[in-house]
Amino acid sequence: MLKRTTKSTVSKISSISADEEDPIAIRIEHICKWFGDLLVLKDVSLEIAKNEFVCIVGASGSGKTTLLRMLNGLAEIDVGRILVDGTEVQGPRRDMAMVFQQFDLFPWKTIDKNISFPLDLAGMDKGEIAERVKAAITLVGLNGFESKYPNQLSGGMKQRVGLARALVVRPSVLLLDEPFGAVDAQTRETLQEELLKIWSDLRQTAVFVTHSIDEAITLADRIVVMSARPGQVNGILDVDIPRPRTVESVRRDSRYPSLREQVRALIGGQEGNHE
Amino acid sequence: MNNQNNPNSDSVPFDIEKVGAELIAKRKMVQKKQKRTRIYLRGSSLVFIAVGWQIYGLHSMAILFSPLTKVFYDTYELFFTRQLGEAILVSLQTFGFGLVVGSTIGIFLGMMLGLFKNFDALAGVYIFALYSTPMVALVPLLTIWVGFGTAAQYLITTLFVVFPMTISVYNGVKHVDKGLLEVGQSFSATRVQSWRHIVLPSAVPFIVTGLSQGVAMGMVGMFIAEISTQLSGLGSALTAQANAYHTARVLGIILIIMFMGVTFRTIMRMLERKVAPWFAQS
Repeated sequence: MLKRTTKSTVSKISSISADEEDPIAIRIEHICKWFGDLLVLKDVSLEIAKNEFVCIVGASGSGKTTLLRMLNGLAEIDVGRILVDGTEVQGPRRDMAMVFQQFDLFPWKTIDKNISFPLDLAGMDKGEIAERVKAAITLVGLNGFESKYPNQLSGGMKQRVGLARALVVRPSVLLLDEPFGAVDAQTRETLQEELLKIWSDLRQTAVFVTHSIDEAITLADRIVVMSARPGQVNGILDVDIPRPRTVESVRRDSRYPSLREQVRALIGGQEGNHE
Repeated sequence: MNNQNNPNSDSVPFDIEKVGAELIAKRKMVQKKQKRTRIYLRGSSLVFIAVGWQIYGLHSMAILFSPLTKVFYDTYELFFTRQLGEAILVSLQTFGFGLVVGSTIGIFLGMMLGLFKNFDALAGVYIFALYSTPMVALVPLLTIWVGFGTAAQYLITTLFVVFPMTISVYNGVKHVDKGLLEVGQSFSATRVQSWRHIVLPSAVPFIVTGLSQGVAMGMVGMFIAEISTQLSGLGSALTAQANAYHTARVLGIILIIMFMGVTFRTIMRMLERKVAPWFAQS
């Protein structure tokens, strides 16, 4: 009864390894996860195409953040496996970068140092670091804030730093864990707008976890709806609203109300809407 | 400021700018007055104590108490005839040694305890037990072991510093934001990188707190060591003068010690504010 659409690209497992033509960036295969004796993810499988923007929506307790942490190699996979660009995820990797919900900036580092952090760890050439940091700062609109400390910035500005810190890596997969959940509604829309703009230029594979239905419709190519306790994929919806989008254009689109209803129905209840 | 655009500006029956200026001026006056009162109080209490000390000193037995002028004069005299300056230098040297060595060991131990759960299981209990033991209780034993020499002074001062430092650093390491550690992990930080970039910087305010306590405890340790070894430094000068009933000089040395304490404490307070600007601003 649930509508399950995968992109027309149903793949053959045999052609995974190092195949440049493989249109699938991420394969999540039969993931199960227990916290203590509680099953939080139950047989979750999902394929995400290259250059696709996927939003994972679900009520709290659906294990969506846990799934994202597994993608990043931060949480252990109990059963199943995740393949990114053909190789199995066994820990954090440099071709993926995460934007964190609580920003998690280093209070003792200036903004530019916060952004250059992943590159400093990688031991990249100083000139290259400076160049990339500058580009990332321009991209997220933080010019002039380079030498400020995080506590001198508003929440929205902080998450721009968080976004820049992930983009500076130039990851092939961008992971975002409810990145706009900790800012006010006004700022949230501004940041969504910015992300739409930035992503329309970069177009790297993005997995965005949120519990806001509106946010998911605004940003995603496809929405994965998860149920709670245990977390399972309830359904996948294509968002066929054309790009370039703005927050406004999405709200006005004729498909928006029905999409909203469909997601809501899949989540099952009012819990998904926090706006 | 510009109320041209404010549609309600016509209905305000008084001049906001003027009222505001008056109000602000009035508040500033009150603040200034309070400040002046406090300066007067501070000054007059100083005069009151000095005069009281002087009068009481003039009317009491020389063995028990001395007038302030005599205290100053005798201490001044002691500086030149009895090598008080040298005693101060020796004390500072002992104190400096204890502080540097003690803090270094403390930072190392605290980091080890905080970072390695197995080391904590192995040695944590004993370090906490020693931290809870008043160090003074160990002094007689230490003097038995290393004798009444300079070594005893250095050792005792160091021991007084080590434990508060260790515990502070341990707490610092334990209080590292888990989210920040995860950021490091997410960006493939090695263990050493996450210590250097995340654990150590977030422990800095705790290290400074430990240093503050170390300074306070180090002074106590230094005087206890000097008094019990009777060898050198301000502590032994103090006991020597007290044993000879030179009360004025004893009072003078105590004033010097008090001055040292206040100085160190002020320096530490400034350091605390300086070293972690990201803490001060939040």
